[in-house]
Formats: sequence, structure tokens, C-alpha cells
Amino acid sequence: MLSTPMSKAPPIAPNPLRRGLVEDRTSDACAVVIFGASGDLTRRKLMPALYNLACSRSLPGGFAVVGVARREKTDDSFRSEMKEAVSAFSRRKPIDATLWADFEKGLSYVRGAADAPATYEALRAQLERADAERGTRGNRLFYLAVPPAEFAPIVDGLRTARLVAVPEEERRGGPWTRVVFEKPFGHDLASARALNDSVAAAFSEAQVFRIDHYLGKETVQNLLVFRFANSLFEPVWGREHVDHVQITVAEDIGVEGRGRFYEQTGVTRDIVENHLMQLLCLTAMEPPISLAADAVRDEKVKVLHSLRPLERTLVEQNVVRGQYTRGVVHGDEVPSYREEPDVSPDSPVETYVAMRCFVDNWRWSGVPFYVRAGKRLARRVTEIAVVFNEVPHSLFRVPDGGITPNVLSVRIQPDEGIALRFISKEPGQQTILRDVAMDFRYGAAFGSNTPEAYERLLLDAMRGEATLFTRRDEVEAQWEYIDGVLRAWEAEGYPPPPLYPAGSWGPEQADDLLARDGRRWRKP
Amino acid sequence: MTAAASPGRVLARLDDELRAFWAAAPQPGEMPRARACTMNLVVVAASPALAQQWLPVVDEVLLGVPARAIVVGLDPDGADALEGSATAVCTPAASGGPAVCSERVSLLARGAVCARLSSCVAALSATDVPTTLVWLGRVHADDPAFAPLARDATRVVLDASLGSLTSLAHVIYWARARPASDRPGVADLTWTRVAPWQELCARFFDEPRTRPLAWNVTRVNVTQASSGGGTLGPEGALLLGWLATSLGWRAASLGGKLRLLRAGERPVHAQLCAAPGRRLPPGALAALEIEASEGELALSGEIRREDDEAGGAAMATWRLAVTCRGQTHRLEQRIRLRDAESARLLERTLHRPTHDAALVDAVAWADELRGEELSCT
Repeated sequence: MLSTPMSKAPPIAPNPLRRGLVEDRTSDACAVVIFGASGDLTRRKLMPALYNLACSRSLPGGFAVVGVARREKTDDSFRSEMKEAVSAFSRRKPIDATLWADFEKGLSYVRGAADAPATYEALRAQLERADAERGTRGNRLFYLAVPPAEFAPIVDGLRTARLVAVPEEERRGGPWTRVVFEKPFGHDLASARALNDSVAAAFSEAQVFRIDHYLGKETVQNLLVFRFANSLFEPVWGREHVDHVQITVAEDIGVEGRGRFYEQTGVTRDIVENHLMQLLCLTAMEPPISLAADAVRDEKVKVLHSLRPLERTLVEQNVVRGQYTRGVVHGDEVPSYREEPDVSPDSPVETYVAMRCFVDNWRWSGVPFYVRAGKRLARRVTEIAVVFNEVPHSLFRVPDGGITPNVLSVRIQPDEGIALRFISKEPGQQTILRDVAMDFRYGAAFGSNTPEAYERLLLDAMRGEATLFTRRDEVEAQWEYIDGVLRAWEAEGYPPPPLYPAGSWGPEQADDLLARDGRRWRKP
Repeated sequence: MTAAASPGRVLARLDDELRAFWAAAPQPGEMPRARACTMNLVVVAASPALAQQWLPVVDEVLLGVPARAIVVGLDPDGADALEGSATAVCTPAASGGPAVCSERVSLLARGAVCARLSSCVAALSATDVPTTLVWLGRVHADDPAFAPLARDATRVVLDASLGSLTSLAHVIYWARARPASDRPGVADLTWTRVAPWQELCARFFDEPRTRPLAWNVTRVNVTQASSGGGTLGPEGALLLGWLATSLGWRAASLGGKLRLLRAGERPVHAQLCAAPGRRLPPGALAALEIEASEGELALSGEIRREDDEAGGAAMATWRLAVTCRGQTHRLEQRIRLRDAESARLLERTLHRPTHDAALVDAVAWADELRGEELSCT
């Protein structure tokens, strides 16, 4: 399949019957190869997403899924496991037996280790079978649902086994290859760069899709629409009118059996470096010139480069970390982080982080972005809250001395939606002011059966649409910013993370971070 | 429905009823409700019975598209009267929030009130949201019940299978004659019903190798549910019109018989086949076969609809065979068409772009075939 001499043949013309077809998005015929096919992500997210794409007629006529993992399995046992997984985790229930029967014909399994050449020989044979029997036409999407340590061996294995098509072939109508990486992409800036180098040795950047499933969420995508399709908000979106921005990614769960993983990552690497930075970028970015992948990603990278670097001395003033102790969440007593399985009893790993960031550019100069993420907090919520300036002069008498500022909150999960808080007069003889909210709920306005993030992202990757995936320079800029914080924490003499009770909103020091600026965290 | 009263009184009462839904705070133990409205959804059915049939369909659509729905049954031969009732259609919140409610008004317009329908609908419409008019039945652009409603709408949705392709063409021409700033989009439920067939048909030519064959189609067989001798129904006509306009075919006549010609004046053999005795609505598409060839490469594609399962969504089998130098590769896939579920069909139609140039082209082409010989064999 590889490295045939290039000709200067023009790109192939588009299918005339696709012109003007607006309703159904489908991809080219292809085989999706899932490394880590025995894992939780495959069971809970990937296979249900592929099945749902089949239900919505978004899969092409020529389609196959090849699972790759270490465990011994037959094609039949893999199919049966996947059927169980889809029955349990698909948003469409019950499973459509007729559709499943057709879908599962395309499922097969290859047993092998990531670093064993024999794995790739077996995979090649299986893919050739899929091309012949399932009409997948040499197009491959490799999905790496594996721990980051296995990224490099797999990339190397694919390259050595010559399973990667050159992009020129695709331009000439030949087969394509794409690869999807799950987060975290690297452990710090150096490892991210090394990984990017190793990926670049096998794939061109256009073939690489680094997934951040937050970008597949409807509300996150709606943020762009909200900002750039409504003339009302953009003029007030900046330092003239915004007092500060709060971004919260709060989880009420603990590490859920992933203690070993969490000991290596902590919340900063797990959430802040990727999801939180992406939300910040989408909030702060300038309008892109188009929605083309690079146009959007260029603007996000500009935001990342505008972030005021956090050197050691600044880390102490602007970053608070924490770790949860025993507490009560939703009425249940829960153990401390250090009591979780596979967690060291004197672990210094942070399960909470709050940061004060500044985007030093024309629009946001002087406006703090307070971001926080944590586990075992009071409730599960992800939101972006834009807090506007107070009115310059109050005409009204208010009991506690001030009129609360307007807040525009974009709720990412749960109850995806947008709410605008403003002040209204209570009905009656007296002028009593009250906060009220105009509340738009995504599910209410458009129905709740929206596609899962992974459905959107898998289909985008199959179609080669990279807007919702992170680019190399974007990932490295994210790490560059976070690296300053990580280095400061690792330095000798840096105090260990303060503790906070599970079920609270984090350590008191995080409240102090805002109190010093005369502000306080929202309780979303 | 209430007893007949003057239309003004009926409308005032309905307006009061709509306000009353939101005037009172929920009682203890009662689920709080939130109102959501993204459009006025005005559904006008050609008869009271058809309007009754569509009430549950509209309620289902409201779960996904919150709107103020006004469902009207017409009885132009009855004594002048307007009857009506109002209700809220609520979806319980998934995560403990308030139930999300749409308002649905049901009207029955009799006699001369039919001609004054737009005034009644205007009085009940929510402000500041677009209006979609769904017209279920035959229509003429000059119909006094239809025209004023259509002028006020952002989008008009017809169903060529309930009315006719000619009705649809008339409305499209009427809309095109309006100033661009005030031109409603025209959609059609039959066109949405055909959309999965279009997508499956496009798949035949997705492979770069077979893509040029799209310009070299030699045969098209359309099979529809009907007894032999019937004429091409709206579904088949729209599908054929879409193929023709996408691939540059033109209709010609030879000795009074219809001929389809592709580029280079080469013929496309079109045949209409009947599939009698199927559990499908008359005129529904039952199969499409397509053949194309150029040099040593030949393609044969087939989409064949299975009989609807009881209570299920229609299934179809898609088959493709590509032959090159004597070697044939075959592909087969089974998919759900979901084209027979009225609520889903309407919801999908509402989610499509307001202006659809492909529909306009296909209708214009198919409308020219009126009276031409392409009947069932």
C-alpha cells in the first residue's frame, strides 16, 4: 500500500450525487482499528458510538472494525462482548437485533502486544481480508485507546509494518490512513514533544487526530455559535465589560479504581492541561476567519501563547492545589484519596487545582480567568461563567450594599445550556431587586437524544475533519503553560497540597485566591 | 372541542387558556414547568379526521422541537364556525429540573372561517419566533386558506404524497415569485422520505474508482408499491428528478415515447416497475436498481426495501457489485430507512435548511414529466 512513486495527477472530482445532500453525514469506506479493544473506553464509548453511527446510517457501505489487544479472544467472543457492551452503554436501547446482526459481521479481533512485530503482521492480514470481504478499500483509522506509554510502540509498529499510507496517495484518490490519540498526550512538555516527534516520523500532521472529547460535546461546539453567530454578545466580550471569567470542571466521583493512573497524572495533567485549557481557549479566542480546522486552531494557539507564563514565584500566588480527605458526597461517606486502591498513603498528588490566569492580549488585558478542576467536589458540573462589570452607579437601595453583576454561564454538563443572570424588580409597591435567570437548556430546546461526543468525533476523524481535534503546536503550547506549574510543585521545599474534605468545593486556599481580588467562586 | 361560538370569542378563550398554564406557581408536589418555544408550528390538515390523526404526531415532534403548535382541521363545506382547545405537551426533565412544555392548540375551521384562517392563527401565534406552515393535502397557491398563511411563514412544508407533485411545483413557483427578502422556504415530507434513498444511491459512486461511472449510468429501474399500470408516484418522481438534475440527464421524446439522455446524447434506460401486494403505502418506493459502465469497469447497485416490520422502522438492503476485468466485488449492507414514521419525518424536515435548491431543481424536472409515459410494467 505504501510509497508508490507520486504522479502529478489532479485531485479526483467529488461525487456529483453528494452535492447538496444535507441530511446525512457519512464517511468513506474504511476499517477502524482499535488498539486497546479489551479496555473500558472501547466498551463504554467507542463501540456504542460506532453502533449508533450505524443506526443513524452514518457508516459507509464498506466498513469494518478490527479490535487489537493482548487478551486471547476469538472473533465470536469479541463480537459477543461488544454486543453486551453496546446493550449496556448505547444511548439507543434496546439494541436493534437486525442492525446489530449486520454490524457485527464487520467486527474482528487480532490478539497481540503493542511492541510485537507479529501483531502488525496479523493486523495487516486482517485488514487485507477486510478490504477484500468488507470493501474497506485500504482506508484505515487507527484508534489508540491505550495508555500513553503504548503510543510510541504502536506508532513505530505501524510504521515498520508499512501500514501507513502517504498523504499524497489520498490526494490522488488512493487510500488514506489516520490515527487518533486519546489524552493525555504526553506527561509534560518534553514528553509531549518527544511523542510528537515519534508520531511525525510515521504520520504527517494532517493524519493525526488528538482527541479531547470535550470538544465533541454539543455545548462546547455551541460556544462558537453562541459567540460568533449572535451580534449581541461579542461587543461586550472583553476587558471593557467583563470583570472576570470562571471556568469550573468539577467531578463528584473519586478516582474510581484508577489510582495507579491518577498517581502518575493528578488533576492538572488529567483535566487542566487539556479540557480546561480548551475551554479557556474557546472562551477567549478571536473570531477565526473560517471554521476550517487550521483557522480555528490558529486562534486557539494565539490564546495559549498569550497566557502569562507561570514562573515559580507566580505559581505560589496564582495556583492552589489540594487533595481530598474523607468526607460526604451526596450523603455517602467516601474515603480519602490516600485510602483509594493503588494510591500511596503519603501521596502528594493533587486532586484539585485552582488557577488565576491572565490572557495578555488587547481584548483580555487585566481580566483574570479563574479556572478550577477537582475530584470529589460537591457536585458534578462543568461550566464557563462570564461575570460582567457592576453598574457604575446604583439608583436603587439594596440591602447588602450592591447590585450583583450580570453573569452569563455556559453549562457544559450536566443540563447543557446557557443562562443569563440579571436583576429584576419584584412585583409590589416597593422597589425590591431580585436576581433572575434567563435559562436556555439545550436538551429542552432541541430534544435530549443528541449524539454522544464520541459519535461526532469518530465520524469527524473518519471524514478527515480536524477542527475538533488538537494540533501539535496547540498541545505543546498547553504543556508549556502547565509545565511551569508542574516544575514549581516538583521543586524542593514546595509545600504539599492542602487537604479538603470530599464533598466540599475545594481547599480554603482556593477561596482565598479569589478573596484577595475581592471576588468569590460561584457555586454552580 | 367546545360548542361553536364566534371566532373572536373562541380565540379569546384559547388565549386565556394559554396564559393560565403559566400564571400559577406549581402546587406542592406538582412538577415545575418551563415553557420552551423555538417556532410556531402551524399544521393544517385537509380534513378534521386528518387533523386528529396528526395530533399525536405533532405532540411527538414537540418533544424534540419545542414550539407553539397550532393544528387545524379544515371543513370548508361545514357551517361557519371555529372550534378549539389548548393544552400543554410536557417532557419530564431528565435530571430533576422543570418539565419542559410546549403549547398545542387544536382548531377546527368550518365554512367561511377557512378563508379567514390566517387571522385566527395570527392571533394565537407566539411572537418573535419563525413560523413553519405544514400543509397536509392538495393545495393551490391562490387558495385563500393557504396563501395568507404561507405569506406569513418562514417555511412551508407540503407532502407531495398527500397532495401532488403539481401542487408542490405550484407552491415552489409561487414562492420563487416573491421578493427574496420575503420568500418562504419550501420543503416536502416526501422529499425527506426520499433522502435516505438519495444517500444510499450516492454511496454507489463514493469510491474514487467508480466515481466517473456516475456520468455513465445506463439503466435505472424504479420499483414502487402499486399494481401494474400505475404512473410514477411522487417518491419515484422526486428520486428520478434528483438523479437527473444531479447527473445532467434531460428528458426527450422519440416517436412520442419518453427518453432520458445523459451527456453525449447517450440513453439512460429508465423503467418503472410495480410491486403489488406489498405492505407499503401506494406509490412508496420499493426498490431502485442502477447500472453504469465505462470501458472495463461496470457497476450495478440495488436498494431494496423490505416490508415494514410490525411497529418497526423500515429496513432496506443496499447492494453494490463492481466488475473490473471479469472480477466482481460485492458489498452488502442493511440499514433502517425510518421513512415511515411521520413524527420523525417532520422533525427531520424541520431540521433541514430552509431553502433547498436540489428540491426546486428535482421538482421542476419531475414536473416536466407529467403526462409522459413512464408507467408501471
